[in-house]
Amino acid sequence: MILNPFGTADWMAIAPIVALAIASLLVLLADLVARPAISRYGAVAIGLLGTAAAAVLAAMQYGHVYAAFFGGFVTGGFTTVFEEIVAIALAGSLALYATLGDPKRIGGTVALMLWGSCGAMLMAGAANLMTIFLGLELLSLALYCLCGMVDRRGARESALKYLILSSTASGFLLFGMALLFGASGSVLLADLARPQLAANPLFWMGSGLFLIGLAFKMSLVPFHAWAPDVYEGAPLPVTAYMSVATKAATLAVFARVLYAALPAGTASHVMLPVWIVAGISMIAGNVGMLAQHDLKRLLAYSGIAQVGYILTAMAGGSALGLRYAIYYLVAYTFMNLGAFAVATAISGEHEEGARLVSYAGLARRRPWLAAAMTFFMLALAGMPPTAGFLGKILILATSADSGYAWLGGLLVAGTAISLYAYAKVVRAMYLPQSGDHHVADLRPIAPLAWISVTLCLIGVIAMTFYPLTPSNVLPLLR
Amino acid sequence: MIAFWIVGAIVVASAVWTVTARKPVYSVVGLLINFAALAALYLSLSAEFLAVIQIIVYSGAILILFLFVIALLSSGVAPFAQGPNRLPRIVVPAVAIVAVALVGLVAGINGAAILTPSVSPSGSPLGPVGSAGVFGSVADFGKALFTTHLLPFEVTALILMVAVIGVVMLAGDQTPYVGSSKQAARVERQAREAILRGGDR
Repeated sequence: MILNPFGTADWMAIAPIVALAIASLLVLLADLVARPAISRYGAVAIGLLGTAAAAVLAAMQYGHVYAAFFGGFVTGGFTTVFEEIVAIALAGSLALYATLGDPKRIGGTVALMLWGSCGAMLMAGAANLMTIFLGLELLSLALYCLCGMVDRRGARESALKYLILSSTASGFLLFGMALLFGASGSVLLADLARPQLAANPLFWMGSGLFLIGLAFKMSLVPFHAWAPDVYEGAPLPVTAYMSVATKAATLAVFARVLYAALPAGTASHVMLPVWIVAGISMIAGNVGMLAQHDLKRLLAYSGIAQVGYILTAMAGGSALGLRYAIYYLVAYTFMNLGAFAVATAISGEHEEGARLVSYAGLARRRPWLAAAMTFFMLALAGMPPTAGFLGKILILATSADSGYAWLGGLLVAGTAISLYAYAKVVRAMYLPQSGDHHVADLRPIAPLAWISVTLCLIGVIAMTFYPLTPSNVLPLLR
Repeated sequence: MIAFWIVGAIVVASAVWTVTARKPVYSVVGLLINFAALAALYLSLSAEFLAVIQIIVYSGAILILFLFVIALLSSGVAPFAQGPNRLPRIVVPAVAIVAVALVGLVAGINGAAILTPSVSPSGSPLGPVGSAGVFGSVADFGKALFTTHLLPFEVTALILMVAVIGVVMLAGDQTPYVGSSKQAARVERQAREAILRGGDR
């Protein structure tokens, strides 16, 4: 019997995750040993260093396709891209935390964020059911705690709501996995692609339950009700993180299942409910956005619709579709984080930046921030000079190509509805207010938040000029 | 097969009871029955190790924790102070669980013995527990845990860590935040003076 079946390649595969885990232990240690001396910037700096290390380690694996741990974790282009998205989300939210965080809890908060990202990165490379589930739970558990990390009633409510609803969804996911395991006799995703499974009722039931669980985590429409409430209650940096990292990680799992773990010829049937739900999400999410007066709720509904757009790109199951989906996801990451960074930059102790009222007359007080916010809103809406527009055009093209033109039509309709909601934010910033209530300038200097805003701006603009994701993101397995 | 249906019915019924019971203690009792029945179910699948772990960890450790939490949180709250007849009410289901758990376990063990035709040379009805090559045996379980599924096993360590740190963070540090050591000394001095003043009275 070989006692140590794993070599360097196996351990190198999870090196980014290990780097994050070590960084979070260091943060906790620094917090314990040098409590008064280490400011919140110290904790965040350690976290950012860990994130940078993880990002570099992940980038080094680009193109090296290797199934580590008996197929539990697969490296390669696909995993690297999603790990980098998680790293971007993490770095952005950590910077926001340095601006806004509660100094008493900063050590634990940063550590939990890093550990949550370990889970998200694990999901990015997970190629067996157990790794998927444990990665998801690691991410979710960290998020439950992070949501309740402020002394506000809404925060506790948000955490509890998220815990209960998300656990139920995890139950669905786990039931589905159990049935899939029963059908295939293996926890490996690759074994789910065997053609004889197509005739097995257990496979159909299992994948149905599994997809319900994923749809909840992606906040698609029948399972979306938690998202606005949880986003509203959670601290602003956590909302920023949650809106990007959870979506990216879950989409990674979904894409891997769709592209690599379905018996040939079953994809269009198994996934049809998902496409329908994605279509409904694009309409319902954008309609829901119209009535919101809270930026976090608005962006939550926006996120519901955006996931619909990304799924539209994948609907045909074509390689090009996956590339466009990743392109749009990266663009969404930058524009969403940018919007949250602007909100943080004008927030005080009570997160004033989350309320739309605080944006009244922002163009006069902070012309540059207002301009940046306008740009992010235009990008989220998918207006011409931005990466959001290009992404939507690419998605439309691929959906028409792959025979899902009806999803493309819903995308256009949803976009049209959403324009009004995004314009509401822009209007509040630029139009002179009639009911002249003085909005105080809460935070004269927020350098880290400004840096994040700038970086996100550069990200969105750069995406416009470099519209294609690298083609060797595929293959997903082996 | 009959054992499976009986135990399955117990699992579902006790789970329903856990959710619907009005008093938290009853919920714990329902959960205990549920765990015991699950252990019996594992036995009938000849996963002896899992069954034993289920009993030790869940029925033993975790349920005791539940009981402690309930006792600490609701001591002095209405359901516990209903007069002299409250003891029998709690004792009856307690006796019932022990009985059901025992019956369930025995049924499970017998079911396992019926389902597994291979009887070990020593004549134990449980089969060759712990020897390699038998499905669900300790040896196979351990080997799978530390080879094929090493990564998930290690990730659970992270998950537990997140839970511990998360609870500490959520429970919160009640002491006032102090930015510098000078400030810390001042806060400490004030606290000491406050205690001394209180002691004089």
